Amino acid sequence: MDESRPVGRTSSDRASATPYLQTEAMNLKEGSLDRTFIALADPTRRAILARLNLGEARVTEIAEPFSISLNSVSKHIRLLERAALVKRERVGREHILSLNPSGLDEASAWIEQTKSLWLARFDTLNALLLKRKRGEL
Amino acid sequence: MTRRHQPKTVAAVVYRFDAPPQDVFDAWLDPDFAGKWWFTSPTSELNTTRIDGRLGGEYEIVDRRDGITYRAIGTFIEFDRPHRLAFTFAMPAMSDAVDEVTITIGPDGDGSKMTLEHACYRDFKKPYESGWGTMFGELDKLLRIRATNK
Repeated sequence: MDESRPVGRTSSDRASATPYLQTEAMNLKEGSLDRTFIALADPTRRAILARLNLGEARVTEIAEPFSISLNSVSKHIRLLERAALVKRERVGREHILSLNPSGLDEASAWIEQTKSLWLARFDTLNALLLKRKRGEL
Repeated sequence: MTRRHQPKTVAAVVYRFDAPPQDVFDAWLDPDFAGKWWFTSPTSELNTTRIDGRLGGEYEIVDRRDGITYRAIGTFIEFDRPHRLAFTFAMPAMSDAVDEVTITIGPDGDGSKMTLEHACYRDFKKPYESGWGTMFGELDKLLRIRATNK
């Protein structure tokens, strides 16, 4: 990751750069709508959105009121990111989450998801190129 | 093929690679290499990548993961090694949409910088057009109020 030195990408791009399966379905006409519904279908995720509506917050702050593990809160947050409802910014070691107001617009959601998909692929590609340079491939 | 009367939506990314432009360019064309990153995932169970890397040449990638088989096909519509590459992208089993992907690559120190533009031509619905107006409308309002107050 440190070796990839991407340019021109924001921390929020980076944060959601994992949704392989979900974004592969992006050509489904209703794909982004499906993701939005899945994201909104869970009470914990709706509570997270309600919390973020009060203002941006760290992952640990969001997890605090819930009786579930930090790990499962993180999973919920990732799902919200994939639906482009929540965005993540990295400030040093901190991950700050906030609502993404354009997340309910299908075109914006498609753009975000498509960018995430390509950035995730390029991370893989750059790792492969480096491996080959080191003669490991 | 593409429905030009539909609005064009573009997703653009810029990425810096630790390899010279020709290596990055060829990474799209070598089937063995492309099969490891282009249209696959860490959970992929099977990947078949066929690429006829030339102007007018076609590619087909079949990737199976989590029990689902994804098939992507397309044609190279611009080919200028190692500067510029463009191809169509479609997943016929899922949609009749044909997207266009354009890549430009330039040197950047001992590596390279690649710009990718992924364009699609479709009518995206606005939340209020989706028939789920109430639920989306309310949440949308909530999000926009918050955005305006920032």
